[in-house]
Amino acid sequence: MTETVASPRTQQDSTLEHSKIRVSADEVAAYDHSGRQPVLLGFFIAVVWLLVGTVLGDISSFKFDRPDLLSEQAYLTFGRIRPAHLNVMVYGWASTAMFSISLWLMPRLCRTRLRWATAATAGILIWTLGLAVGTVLLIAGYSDGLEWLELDGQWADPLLVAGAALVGASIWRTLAARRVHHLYVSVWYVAASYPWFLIIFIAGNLPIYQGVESAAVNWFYAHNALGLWLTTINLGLIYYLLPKIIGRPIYSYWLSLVGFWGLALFYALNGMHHLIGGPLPSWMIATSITASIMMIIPVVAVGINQHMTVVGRFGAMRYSPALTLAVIAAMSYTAVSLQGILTALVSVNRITHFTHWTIAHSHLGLYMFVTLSLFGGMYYILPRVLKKEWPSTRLVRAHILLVGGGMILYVVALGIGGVLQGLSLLAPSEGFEVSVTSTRPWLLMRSVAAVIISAGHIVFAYHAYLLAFTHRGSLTRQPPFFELKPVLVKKRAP
Amino acid sequence: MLANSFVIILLSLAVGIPPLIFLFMALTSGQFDHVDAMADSIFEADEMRYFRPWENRKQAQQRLEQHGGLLNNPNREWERWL
Amino acid sequence: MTRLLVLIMGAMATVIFALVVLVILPKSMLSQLQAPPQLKPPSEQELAGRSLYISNGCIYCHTQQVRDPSFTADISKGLGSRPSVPEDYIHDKPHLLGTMRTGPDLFNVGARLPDRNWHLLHLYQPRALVPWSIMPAFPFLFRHKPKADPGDKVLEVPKPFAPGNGVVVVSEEAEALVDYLISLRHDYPAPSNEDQKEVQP
Ligand code: HEC
Ligand code: HEM
Ligand code: HEM
Repeated sequence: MTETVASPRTQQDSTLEHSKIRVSADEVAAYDHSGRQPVLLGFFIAVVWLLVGTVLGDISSFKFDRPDLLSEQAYLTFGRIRPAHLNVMVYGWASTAMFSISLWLMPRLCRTRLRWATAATAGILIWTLGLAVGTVLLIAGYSDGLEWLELDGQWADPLLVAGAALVGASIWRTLAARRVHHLYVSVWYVAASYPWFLIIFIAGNLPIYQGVESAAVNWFYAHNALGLWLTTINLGLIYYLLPKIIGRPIYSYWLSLVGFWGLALFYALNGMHHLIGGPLPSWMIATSITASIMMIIPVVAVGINQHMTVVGRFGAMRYSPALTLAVIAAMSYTAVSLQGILTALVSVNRITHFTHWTIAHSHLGLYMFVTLSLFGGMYYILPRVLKKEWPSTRLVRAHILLVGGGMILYVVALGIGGVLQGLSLLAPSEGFEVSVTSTRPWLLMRSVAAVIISAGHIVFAYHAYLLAFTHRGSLTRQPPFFELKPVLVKKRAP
Repeated sequence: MLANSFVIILLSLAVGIPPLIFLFMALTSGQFDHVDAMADSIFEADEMRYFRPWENRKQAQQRLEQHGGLLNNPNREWERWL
Repeated sequence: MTRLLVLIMGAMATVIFALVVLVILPKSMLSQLQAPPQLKPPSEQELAGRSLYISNGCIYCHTQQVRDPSFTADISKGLGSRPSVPEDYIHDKPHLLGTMRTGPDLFNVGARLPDRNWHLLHLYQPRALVPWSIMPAFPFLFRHKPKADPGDKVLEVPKPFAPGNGVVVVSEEAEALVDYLISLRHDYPAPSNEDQKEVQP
């Protein structure tokens, strides 16, 4: 096929400012190159943390099956390994990878090279140092005592603030220097996340709260760390990857507008739904439950928008692991949010509060949504920054199948186990024993899932090593083409 | 108490009014007139004009209608964006 | 530029609004709470135990809150005689409400289990007392010695769980932690509802 007559849409477009600076492939490559140093550094550090966090998660999981496993030493006790798992995964793996993703996205979306790249590099290093110090102190028994805010307020938190601020400065400097007028959806999500994170993290760490206020600020922070930091940057990434890979603009600008501002308004008020039934003034909890229910608006808006972009073209998933993971992540976002809204209703929460249902929800969100989206981002970004291809299709497939399958088992097992535990905690005639014994088979199944997922992580880390540190990727000169052998779809590509 | 004090009311106004004003300015200066164009801004010059192998005939036809004639694709150009 | 201003100021407005509603307002309202007269401020020893409770992560399996009987079984299961109220936590810094009940609630454990020796052995090896327990053992809170010195408090450990030779001696840390656990009792009546009314807007 060759050129035919230009369509009406193209003519209309040519009157718009953005179309004048439609870029060439070379320019895009130059944008990618401008952030090379911090982007690669961040991904490298993130993968190291992922492996550390995996070991910590596995140990935590096995300890439920064998409570006397590794209990001789204080630093190996469950109550230190588990928070270390949370902090390493959230601040080490997810956040560091999110730094790289935002530093790669912004130049592309702003159509300019990355500004203050050195500051961003320094920020990532300072953040990592802070987290390393905090994790060591946590394992050694120095914890601030609030879930999600355990890291030491004196030695670790200032470094984390400085690190995130430096990366954020680079992001906002790039945004200020942008060469497009329009701000693409992803820009709102990514750019807003940095000031949000700094505000909530600082507010959460102020040592001025006592009693139930301390609980309120604890969950104000933790929920917003999820909603206004982990969720937003990953939604920004998905909003970029889906249309870009499929080659089709996002379904509706207005829906993305509703999704973004709805999220900003309602998510921030959600925190107290972690304390339903707790000793807080009941209007606070009611506010959060209401805001949780209102979350249906942005969640459905984002869900429809992303679904309508992909719909009818799911076959494209076979060509791109990045798209495969981004689509699964987008669906999981809808799923975890609907599950969360359900959990925030008092009639459900009375059963599931305090049980492993919450852990299933956590990992549905932080794994099936956040982590898979980050993996997808890395599959897409690393070849473009390194100018080499992922060497092995089989390793990609093995990775996706292991982590996907393992996590489904994890979430389903704990979902069932959690409901059984919750029902038994409610039954007036049953002793506490029943809630423990009825959950144990499901916890064992979670440990099986943990092994499967860990294998997936090792495959991924090995593959990333092959890509970055060997010449395999450039030697084979494979095109960026990954036809995943049909798992669900039979037909081969033409 | 702070809850029903002027401080809170003033703070809310100070925080809430300016973004609304800027939003209004943005609206009146026409920044939201061509909003759907924004969705196209992430694509390269002729990116949308290549046929993708997963599209069925109807979808390819749509691509042709919306983005102009499809370009020759000997090197599997679309692979660049996968 | 206007676009950036809408973005940054709008984003800030939403989060500051939430901060005011969920943190700043409650802080100013709750600052008027009075400690109930029966609730003693914690002693040095109890505070030391409390920080061990934090550093060994008991919070990841134990809550310290009793919820309303209208929609939970907390009270009928003997976790307390009444739902917990903000006044009960007035000395807590940081709070230890918790979000997991892998183990039972400890808000009134001092009333339910006042026996020191039970707690010491339970911390040393929960399965020595509760065979189905999945609580970790905390042997590092005890000292394992060939022979007890004068003044040492020796822990009687039943056979299968006792070390092959020597004795298990209770450390100051274990004592402090048990002091803290036994101090957890909130069996006084809830403070009169006048203050509570104040808290409602
Ligand atoms: C892995 C989760 C876990 C951790 C961590 C944990 N516990 Fe437990 N705890 C349990 C379980 C399960 C039970 C119920 C079985 C039993 O009595 O051993 C329990 C029971 C208890 C009881 C008895 C409560 C009652 O009403 O019978 C006390 C007291 C207790 N734990 C204190 C602690 C202290 C103190 C720590 C921290 C040093 C701690 N626990 C850490 C799981 C845990
Ligand atoms: C190898 C994969 C993983 C395994 C085996 C694993 C295992 C666990 C275990 C055993 C717990 C403690 C549950 C409890 O206290 O009952 C936990 C909690 C948690 N994990 Fe993971 N995890 C994994 C991956 C991840 C990842 C990738 C993330 C985040 C990006 C994550 C985030 C969390 C969080 C936030 C919690 C706390 C949940 C809560 O308090 O509700 N996990 N995980
Ligand atoms: C509208 C969306 C959502 C709502 C209404 C919601 C609701 C809830 C509720 C009510 C809880 C508390 C459960 C309990 O303790 O009983 C909870 C916990 C949690 N949620 Fe969500 N959720 C939503 C979206 C998400 C998303 C998108 C993620 C992940 C990115 C997520 C991650 C978590 C985690 C990690 C916890 C456990 C926190 C902890 O105890 O440490 N949630 N959620």
